[in-house]
Amino acid sequence: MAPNLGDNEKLVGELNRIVLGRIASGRLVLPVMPEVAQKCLATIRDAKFNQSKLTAELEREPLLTASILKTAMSAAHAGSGVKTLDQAVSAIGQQKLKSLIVEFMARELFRSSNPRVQAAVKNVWQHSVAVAVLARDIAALTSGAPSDACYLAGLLHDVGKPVIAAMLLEAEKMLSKDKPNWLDITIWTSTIEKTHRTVGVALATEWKLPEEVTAGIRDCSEYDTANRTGCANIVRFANALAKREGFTTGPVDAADIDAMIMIGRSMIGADDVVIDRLVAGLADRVAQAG
Amino acid sequence: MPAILTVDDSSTIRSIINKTLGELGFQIEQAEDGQQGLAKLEEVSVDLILLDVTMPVMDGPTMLEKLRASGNKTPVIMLTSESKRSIMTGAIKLGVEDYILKPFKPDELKAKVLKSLKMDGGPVAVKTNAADAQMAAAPPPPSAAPSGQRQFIDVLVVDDMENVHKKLRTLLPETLTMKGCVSAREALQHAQEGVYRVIVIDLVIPDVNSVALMNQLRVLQPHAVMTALALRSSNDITGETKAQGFHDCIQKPFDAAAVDDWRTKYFAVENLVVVNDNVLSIAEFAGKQDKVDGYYAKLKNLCRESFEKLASACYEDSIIDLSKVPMHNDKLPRLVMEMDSEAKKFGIALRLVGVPEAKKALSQLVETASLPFFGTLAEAKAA
Repeated sequence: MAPNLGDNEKLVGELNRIVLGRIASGRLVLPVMPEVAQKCLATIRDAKFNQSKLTAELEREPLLTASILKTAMSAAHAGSGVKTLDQAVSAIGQQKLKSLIVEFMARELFRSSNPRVQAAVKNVWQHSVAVAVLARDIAALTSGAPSDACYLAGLLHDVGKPVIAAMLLEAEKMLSKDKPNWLDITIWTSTIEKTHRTVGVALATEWKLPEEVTAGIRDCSEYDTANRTGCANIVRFANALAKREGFTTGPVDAADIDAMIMIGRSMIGADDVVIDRLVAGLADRVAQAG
Repeated sequence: MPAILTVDDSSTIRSIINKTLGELGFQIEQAEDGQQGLAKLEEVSVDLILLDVTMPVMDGPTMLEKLRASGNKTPVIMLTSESKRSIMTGAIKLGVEDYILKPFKPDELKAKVLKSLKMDGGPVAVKTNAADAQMAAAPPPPSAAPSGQRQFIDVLVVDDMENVHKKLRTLLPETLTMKGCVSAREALQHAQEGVYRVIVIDLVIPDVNSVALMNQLRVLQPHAVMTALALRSSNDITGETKAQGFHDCIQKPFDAAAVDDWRTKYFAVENLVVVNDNVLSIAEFAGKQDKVDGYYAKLKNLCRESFEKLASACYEDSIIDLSKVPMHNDKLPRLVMEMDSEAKKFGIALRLVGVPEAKKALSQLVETASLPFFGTLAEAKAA
């Protein structure tokens, strides 16, 4: 028998308290960035960048290598002229490579063999890619904020959701081994909505991501008037636009989205014509990027 | 004259709005708070309300609520330093046209006011005051059609290697204008400042996703032809780049004939014959040999069109500069013969300029042997 509305709210409140308490006390177990990815990022950040060393490290992670080669061989970069990983690294460039590594790790977080986790985060990846693509383009065309950082911030702004979903699964199992799947889906989604930002920020800090990316995850709910054209505001604006274009993660309030878009246009100084053209080809660009 | 009510407790803001919109010819009414605003609307009819949020006595959302409850549907733009989404959500549910965040630029205020009043180039709004005939003479929007003030340039090349720009410049006719840039940021800057016919984007610019850049440039230049610049490859790079959204592709290192084939798709007709007064200058042919018949056919048609324009301008003669036209056996004399025949239909006499070999070739045909022929343009003009 599903819990009643009052029980739901108490349960959500209790789960929130547990999650946030663990974050505050440093006891939250977050997904660790694989050692290979950590070493690659450290090599890229090193002032004495050594491409051979980077290539050797990348080769230890075949899936990541394949992803980099595929990107470099696409028409977006060198096309079919790339034949080796070394050529791919040269063609893509260090900044883009950093983004690719983080993107690869993030995508892994959104994969799960568990159907309940999959159901809970079903549309989140597509939504995240849409926000990332829009944020990158809006940054490039308007504000001067670094477009790569805006892309990553957009991609990761909901990264806490799959992490929380996986944690809820574990909590469910631990609390009642005899009665699996006892948490109602509304409790899942409500808990995820209330806690994912805090978890996302904790993850970004754990992965040592740039501050612009962390700021984009930290709070997507209200614009920051102190930094009108910063990365975080661009992600907020892109988030609203993506939802208006149908890349949603659940029920939406149309008036709320319109409000965010109206405020965002003035906040960032985005031209109506430019925004209309940007969203016109969004589905294709998301399909290419995702 | 369209009337606007500005409701704001700041006299500075009301003064700025009065000045900015007054310059456009609007009549501005003012109120210091929502209560005064409602009272003002009892006295006068306006076409638009600019409404602040935080005000003493009665705030903006309350005034808006009372306005809508009374059946007043006057368009409203929220003009405020408040950016909380919940406040705007409530306002949207009551019906607002737009939102302006303080501090604001005058251009944003003007653009959004004109858009709300449908004076930004779209249909003119129906006036609440039917006696106002000056609505028809409403001033143009402050941001006048950008392409009317921006420079038209034929080709924008985006490649991190300046040598590529220089090489491509040598392969394109001098009549084509070209601008080169070495970074994505520079390209986006140029795209905001000019209007381009063709944009060429290198696929190997470090740290740049060329497809993303192409899509961004397409937003700013929706009519430009997007051409990918790729390293020479045996694979179907053209097919791959078209799948990514590019219209065309050219390969590096450049092949002159291939560049000319590419160029003629987008520029051939306009630049093969350049007309200055009554002088027709013909561009050289630089394509593959199997395309030379097409070159001569285009020349014939273009010259006919040019003669028609010269006749309309009351010219009775024309100088044709054949210096760059290739000989190709008897193609040149036959072309000249056809051009002379077309010119005569318009009553235009021809004088020719070219190299000695051309004169010799023309002397072989009866129809062209007697046409006046000169070694230089100056000589032809002086005759």
